[in-house]
Amino acid sequence: MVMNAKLHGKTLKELRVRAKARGLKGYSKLTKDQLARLLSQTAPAPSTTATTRRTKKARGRKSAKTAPTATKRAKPSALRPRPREQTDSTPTPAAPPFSTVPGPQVSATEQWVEQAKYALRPNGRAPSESTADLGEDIDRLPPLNEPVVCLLSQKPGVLHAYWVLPADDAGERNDYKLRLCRAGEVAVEIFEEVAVRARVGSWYFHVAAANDVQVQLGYYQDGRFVTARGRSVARLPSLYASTRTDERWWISDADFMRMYLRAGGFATAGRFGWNASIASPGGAQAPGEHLAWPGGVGGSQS
Amino acid sequence: MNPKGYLALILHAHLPFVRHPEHERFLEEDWFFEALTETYLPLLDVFEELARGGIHFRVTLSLTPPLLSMMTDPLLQQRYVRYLDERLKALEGERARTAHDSYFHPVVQFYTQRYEHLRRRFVEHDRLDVTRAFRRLMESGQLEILTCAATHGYLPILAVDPESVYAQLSMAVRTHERILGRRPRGIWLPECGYIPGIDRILNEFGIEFFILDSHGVLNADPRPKYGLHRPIRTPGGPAAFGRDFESSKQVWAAEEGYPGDPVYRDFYRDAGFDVHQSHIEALHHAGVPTFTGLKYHRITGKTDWKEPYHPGWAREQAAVHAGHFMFNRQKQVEWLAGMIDRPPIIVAPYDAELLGHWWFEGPQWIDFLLRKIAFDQSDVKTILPSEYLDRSGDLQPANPPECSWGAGGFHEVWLNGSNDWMYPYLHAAAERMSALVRRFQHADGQLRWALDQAARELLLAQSSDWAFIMKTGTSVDYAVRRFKTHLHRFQRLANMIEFDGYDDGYLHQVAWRDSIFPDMDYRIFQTRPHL
Repeated sequence: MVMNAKLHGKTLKELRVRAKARGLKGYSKLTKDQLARLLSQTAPAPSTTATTRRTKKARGRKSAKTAPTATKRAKPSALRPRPREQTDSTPTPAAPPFSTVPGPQVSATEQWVEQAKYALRPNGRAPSESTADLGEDIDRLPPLNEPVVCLLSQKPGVLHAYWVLPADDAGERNDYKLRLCRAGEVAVEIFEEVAVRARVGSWYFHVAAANDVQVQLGYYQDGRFVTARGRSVARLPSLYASTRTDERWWISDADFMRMYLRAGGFATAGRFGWNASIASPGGAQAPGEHLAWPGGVGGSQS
Repeated sequence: MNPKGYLALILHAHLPFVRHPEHERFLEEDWFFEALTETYLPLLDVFEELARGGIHFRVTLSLTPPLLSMMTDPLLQQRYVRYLDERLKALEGERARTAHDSYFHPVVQFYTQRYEHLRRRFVEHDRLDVTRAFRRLMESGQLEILTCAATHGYLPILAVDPESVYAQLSMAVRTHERILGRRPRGIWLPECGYIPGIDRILNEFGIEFFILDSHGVLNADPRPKYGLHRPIRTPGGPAAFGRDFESSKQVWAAEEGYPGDPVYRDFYRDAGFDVHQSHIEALHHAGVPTFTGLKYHRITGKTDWKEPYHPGWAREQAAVHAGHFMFNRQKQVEWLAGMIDRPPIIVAPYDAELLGHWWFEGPQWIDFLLRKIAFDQSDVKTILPSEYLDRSGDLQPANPPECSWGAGGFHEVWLNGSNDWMYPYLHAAAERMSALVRRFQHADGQLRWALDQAARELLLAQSSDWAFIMKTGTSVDYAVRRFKTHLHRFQRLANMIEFDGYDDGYLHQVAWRDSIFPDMDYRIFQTRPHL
């Protein structure tokens, strides 16, 4: 490695001060040469809050002159968070949310590793060359003209709706409402109703477990809701295992629970459920509990 | 002697279609070159060596249509040779630079031998087309190759327009047959994304099985008698295998996972950022440092200080971890055999790029694992999902719920504040494409050419990679540009077809750039298979 001559001329104490200022970790047991080499490999950077604990003894941090010895067979070690590199030019994706919690954290870790296959340069900056070189004005998307309302499930308890009103309609009325509801036996059961303030927009609804939920875009006239532009039906996915067993393929509650819990699920109030993301319904939260999940409070209305 | 149970190792290999002939070199093409270097070629080395030794093994691999397309693309093949040559040139400089460094010179020598071998293999053995090697292993019965949706479109959200689901599957099956010589028996649904109804559509394409995340089978209705350890029969006909949680946790979990072992190679320390000399700077893109693949350090621990990488120690540890994994599968199978009355299957799927690209020693681990399974025990045997189905009698009918294997288990990775703005445009474009198919049922000549290219652009816009990248924030600008570019191109082609008349020059340029699926037929956008 290229050694910075200026660093080599500093005392060990001075090098340690620099290392501390750069937010480096694990340098206290390094020799002067090792610390100078470390500093020459890193550049001054804004201090960041490292999430790793300083280890009392870092393995392998012996004198540079110590020849590698035969290793003992090490046990499989913990997958530890990677410390942030401290250079401007080194990639610094956030450390993955490693933990011992099964289920959601495994999939979150996998997502973090999958995103690493797209990591080529720091900060995800686009290349300097434009990919759109055939006159496409890609900063302006094609207009949305066809009226539509669409309902998509995002996860248990959260539905996403988007709408497009025709340009002429938006000029005529300003009292449109987006309504999440379900057709009841006697009357429509309304879960939530929001005012539509833009021709094109979207919204995240929070709703407890329910099937055949609809979204309607319309307005009130003489106290009655007039469905003006389409409606869409979604089925909320469930976190929970079925309570039904098949006669031919019968399994006892005890055996099912054993398999289910071993596979990363949880048991609550007599039901078996799946740990979804931390911000999702499930785990310790009781079914039907409304969540203050930030993504659902607003939406976007352009 | 019959084993107590079976292990189905499934590796899902995918990258989005990235090919920019309009530029002499393009940074994001390195995704493909890195994966070839660190994952696909090393895995082929492992599998071929096992096959030459007559060692029994079975591995399932999904090779997505974009990946197959890139593997068979002459431009990318030539650029990969250039990629290898540039690194070999850089390594000449590294050998000179580290000639008197007893810590790093051995690592540089290691990489020199490695890149020389890869180049020899790719140019002389594979003749630039690695799909041939995969096909040989498939035909000899050791590998099963699954397909995946045409551009890895996330089907639960695209299913607002069923024509899009049919188009993604039609092009997937066509591409698989064109390149690998046979239709697939199984499919890896993109991100294991599933909603009820997809099973029926898969059946129309002759797909016999697919994979779901654990809760996709465990939460099926009625309760699955065998949990994750036998597939269920979906209402539409195909079987659904459930991912085994324990074997996933073995690799990934904080306290028990393998890839973070201190002796393994560190992913982030790369000569591209550490070495400031001209032979390494020659590998930079537009003067900006990037990953070069020349990584000289091991993880070491929770410290910024990283020790030099020692390939021999890492290899030894991979063997230890393989033995650990196998031992745990033996114990697992022993427990399951006591609980269920049929030989259980443990389905262990991973992103292929985990092995090699992220976890450098991954291919070695899998090599040791397959050898140990073959020679060191008899409780567990590797198997292909289709083999297991062929041996199974009745499967329990059950209805899987909506699910995915994305973080959270449902759709939020692909539908959240960073990417939900895409879907009104995608759905509108899909409706327009379906209308064009209904209107022009027997197009030919220039009309046919424009319609086929419009279908390509829409499929490329539907790639779930763009939404994933927007959510995870690695190359967001690139993902946004790609999505918008394909949307614009689709729109312009559709306008040409419907209103404006043809611009031959534009059509030529777009077709040259977005050249995936040479056998495209726009009529895939209809609600029946178009094969």
